[in-house]
Amino acid sequence: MDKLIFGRYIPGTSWIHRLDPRAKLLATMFFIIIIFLANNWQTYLLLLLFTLLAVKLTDIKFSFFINGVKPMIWLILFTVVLQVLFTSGGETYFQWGPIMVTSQGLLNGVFIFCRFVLIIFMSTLLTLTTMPLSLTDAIEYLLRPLTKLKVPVYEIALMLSIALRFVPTLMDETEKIMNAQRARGVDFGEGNIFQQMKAIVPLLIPLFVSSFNRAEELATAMEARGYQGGEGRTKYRQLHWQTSDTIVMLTFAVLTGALIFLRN
Amino acid sequence: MKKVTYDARTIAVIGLLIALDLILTHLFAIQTPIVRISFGFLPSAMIGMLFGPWTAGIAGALADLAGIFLFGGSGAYFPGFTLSAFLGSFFYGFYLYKKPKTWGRVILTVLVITLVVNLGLNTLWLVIMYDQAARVIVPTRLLQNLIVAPIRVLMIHYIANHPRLRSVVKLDDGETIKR
Repeated sequence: MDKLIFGRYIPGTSWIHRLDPRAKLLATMFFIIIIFLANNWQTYLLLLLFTLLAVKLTDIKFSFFINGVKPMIWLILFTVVLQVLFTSGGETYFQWGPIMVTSQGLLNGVFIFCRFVLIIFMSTLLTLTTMPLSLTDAIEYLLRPLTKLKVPVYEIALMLSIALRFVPTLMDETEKIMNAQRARGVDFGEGNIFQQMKAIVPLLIPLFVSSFNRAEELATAMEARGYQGGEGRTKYRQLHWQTSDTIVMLTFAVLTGALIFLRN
Repeated sequence: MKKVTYDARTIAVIGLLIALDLILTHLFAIQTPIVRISFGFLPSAMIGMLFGPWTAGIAGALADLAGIFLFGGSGAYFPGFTLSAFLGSFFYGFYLYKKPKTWGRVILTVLVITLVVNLGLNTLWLVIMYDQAARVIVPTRLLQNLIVAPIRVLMIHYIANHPRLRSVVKLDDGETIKR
């Protein structure tokens, strides 16, 4: 566990970076839905061009986006191969029992591949250009209507912020406990599965105890600063919806229209 | 929504447990050729035992989202898995909140989660996402769950009845931290 190359956010001042996190979150979620509208090469091409344009606008090196795909690449290729081998329809190039390679299958393979890569690119784009805490603010804002249904939205958002904030702290804590155990002769990540499990168990209890202790300290600090629930709490980070955010929303509306028009 | 009052203490405990969930899910896992065993389910189960199903469900969904914010999740985001995360944690609360943490109960909980969430819902999501490939992914997942479920039962029972932890939190009557 290397020292905090933490989160995936890459600071920057590109047009995409400066967008309101609410706009980015909405747009990304919307993209993942409308990608299922694409069903022919025109629609996929359109989405591909759109995604590449968005990637270009981030001013982030393309390799970061490729890195987002890497951990998934085997699963994706595997999916593509199966899609190719088990889809019938169109011209048949090869057949052996239930296994066949058809024009429809090849086409579907390419489409599935595109779908994956595009979804990964878009979600990578969101997390590379938006700070986790900004995303939490966006979620809080977007969930706000649920307060009417007595859902504790402010509290939920605060829990998420605390979680994001304390991941690095607990990581350090974990490292300390691991070192303490190492000093007593424990080998982490070695031996068979049972030995590995046995090495991890003595980590868990101290981790839980230390989480509870930190929570206790944090709660005391919150109360000392007069925390008394969500409604009417003022904010350190303010969100500002700007024209460029409206433009993003409109662009997505146009994109959806185009997809519906172009799809089969 | 069950009556859990979200005071500073509750919020802090849940926040920290979600952070622990993230660390155990994304940074600590035992990788074997067949399965990846992570312990992210333990903080979820803990939240369930402490605060009941609804709060645990929300915390589960939050942990899933935060995982995506911080670590990019496990690649492609699909909202179905957030729902699965909600339900999984919900069941921990449903069966273990203010209940004795006996072997029978823990086994029941893990069984329900494995069948309904891991094998039921998640299979559905995989079919939606991967189409044909689900045919091959689902059997391997069946095997994985067969291996992981007993480990979950052992670990949850261990954590729930651990004397050191019991000295810090009250797990039976739903109150948070012993003063």
